[in-house]
Amino acid sequence: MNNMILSINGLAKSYKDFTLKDASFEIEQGTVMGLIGQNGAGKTTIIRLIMNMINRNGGTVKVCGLDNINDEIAVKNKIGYVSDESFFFYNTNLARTAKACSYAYDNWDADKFADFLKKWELPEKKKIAALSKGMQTKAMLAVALSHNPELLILDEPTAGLDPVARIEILDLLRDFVSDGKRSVLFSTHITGDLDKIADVITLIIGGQIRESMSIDAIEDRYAVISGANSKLTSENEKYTIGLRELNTGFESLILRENLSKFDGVSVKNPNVENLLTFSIWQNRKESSK
Amino acid sequence: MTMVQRKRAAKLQKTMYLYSRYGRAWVIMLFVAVLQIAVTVGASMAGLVEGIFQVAHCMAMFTFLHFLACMFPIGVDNDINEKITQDAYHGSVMPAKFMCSLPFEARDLLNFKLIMWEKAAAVNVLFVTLGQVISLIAESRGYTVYHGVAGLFTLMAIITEIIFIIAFLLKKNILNIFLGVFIGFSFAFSCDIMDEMSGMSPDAMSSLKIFSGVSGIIIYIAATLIIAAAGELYIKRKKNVSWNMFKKG
Repeated sequence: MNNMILSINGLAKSYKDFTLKDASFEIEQGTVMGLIGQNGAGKTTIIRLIMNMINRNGGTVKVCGLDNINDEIAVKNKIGYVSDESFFFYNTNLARTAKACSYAYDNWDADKFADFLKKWELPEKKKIAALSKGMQTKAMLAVALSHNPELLILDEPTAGLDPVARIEILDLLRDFVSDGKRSVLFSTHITGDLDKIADVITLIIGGQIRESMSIDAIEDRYAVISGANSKLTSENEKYTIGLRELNTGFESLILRENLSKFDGVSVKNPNVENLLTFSIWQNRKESSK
Repeated sequence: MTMVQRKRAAKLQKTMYLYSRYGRAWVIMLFVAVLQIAVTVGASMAGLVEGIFQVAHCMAMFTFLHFLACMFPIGVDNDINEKITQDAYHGSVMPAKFMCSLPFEARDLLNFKLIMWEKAAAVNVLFVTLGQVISLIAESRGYTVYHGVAGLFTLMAIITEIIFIIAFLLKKNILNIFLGVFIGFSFAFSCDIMDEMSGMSPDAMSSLKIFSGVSGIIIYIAATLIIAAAGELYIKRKKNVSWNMFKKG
C-alpha cells in the first residue's frame, strides 16, 4: 500500500533567471520533512507549485495519490498551508476569515478554530492588520489546522516569532504527526527547529534537490572535521565538502566513509545547519571553477 | 460553463464577497434599485401621482450610482488577470495566497469572472428596466416631462457598455473606470438638464426610447453571451490553469 502523502516527480519550473530542475521527493505518512536551502534556492517555488499558484513546466505533484491540478479541490481540502507572510485580508477580522473558510472547506471545524483562538489568545473581532506578526502566523496556523488537513505545508513559519511561540508551534507540529497518518512539509532557515522536529531533510541548492534523507542518516553518512591547516593535504582536500580554511585551522563536511583520509583531526556529528552551510559553500566552490 | 463550475465559482464569489467592500457596495446598490422600483410601483398603485413624479425625479439623480456600482464588477472582469482582480477588490492587500490555498480550482476564478460579467449585465438590465417602468408609469399618469428620460437612460447605458467592451478588448482597466465615472456624472448632469426642459415635446424622444430600450437590452444580453462564450473558449484553451499569482518564485 502506498503510504506517501506527497510525491513530487520531475518537477520543473523556469524563470528568466532561475530554473527548478527535475525536483523529486516523497513524504511518508507521519513524518515531518524539512525543506532547506539558501534564499532563492527554489523552496518557495516548490511550495507554490504544490499549491498550483504558478504554472509548472514539467513533472507531477501528487497529494495522497491525487494530482494537484486535476484534483485541485480535493487536494486543497487535504492541505493546510501557512505562508511566510500573512496572507489574510488585512481589513477584516478572524471571525469573517473563518466564515469564508467555512464556505470553502468541506470539513471546516468551527469549534476547533475557536479553540485555537482561545488557546493562542487571538482576538476574533480585531482587524487582522492590527495583529502582531506572531499572532498573524498563529492565525494562519489555526486556519490551516481547522479543516483537518492531512498535509501541512509551512513556508518559513517560525521566522520572526518569539522563542515561546516557536516552541509552541513546534510542539503543535509534533502532535499533528503523532497519529502517524499526517505529515508536515516545513521550509525554514532556522535549522535548529528542524533538528528538534524533522524526520527527513530535503536539501535544495540552485534549483536542484541535492539530498533527501532522514535526519539520522545525516549523522550516519556525514561527519564534520576540523583541525590545523597542516593536516589538510592536496591529497585529502578533494574529499572535503564545503571546505572552510581560516588562519586558525580548517573545518569541513566529509562523507564518513572518507574519515580514514584525515589524520589528527577532530570529528563531530553534523547537524542540519552543517549540512546546509557546507553544501552551499561546496556549491559556490564548484560554480566558481 | 457547467453547473458544477458555476457552483464552484459562486462559492468563490461568496468567499471573496465577504471581504469585498466594493462587492458589498454593489449589493447595496442593487438593493437600492429594487427598492426604487418597488416604491415607484407602490406609489403608482396608491395613486400618488405627484409622488411618482418626485420619485422619478430623484431616480434620475440616483441612477448614476448604478453606473458606479456596476462599474466595479465590470471593471474587475475587464481584465483576465488575477492580480488586477485582487487589487480591484482589496486595494492595498493581496489576498492571493489565501484564495489559492482554499479548495478552489484556479479555473474557478476564470468562471467566477464570467459570472461577474453576467451579474454586471443583469444590473444594467435592471437599470434599463427601471427607466422604462418610471417612464411608463409617469406617462400613464399624464406626465410628459420625463418621456425622454428612459430613452436617455438606455442610450447612455448602451454607450457605456460599448465603451466597457472596448476597454475589455483593450484590457485597459483604469481607462474603463475613468470612463465609467465620467459617463456616470455626465448622465446625472444630463438628467438635471432634462428637468429644466419643461417645454419639451412629449413625443420628441419616444422613438429613441423604444429603440434604445429594446436594443439596449438585446445588446446587453448579446454582449454578456459573447463575453461568456469568449471566456469559455479562453478557459478551454488554457491547460493546466494555475492561479498565476506570482511573476517569480
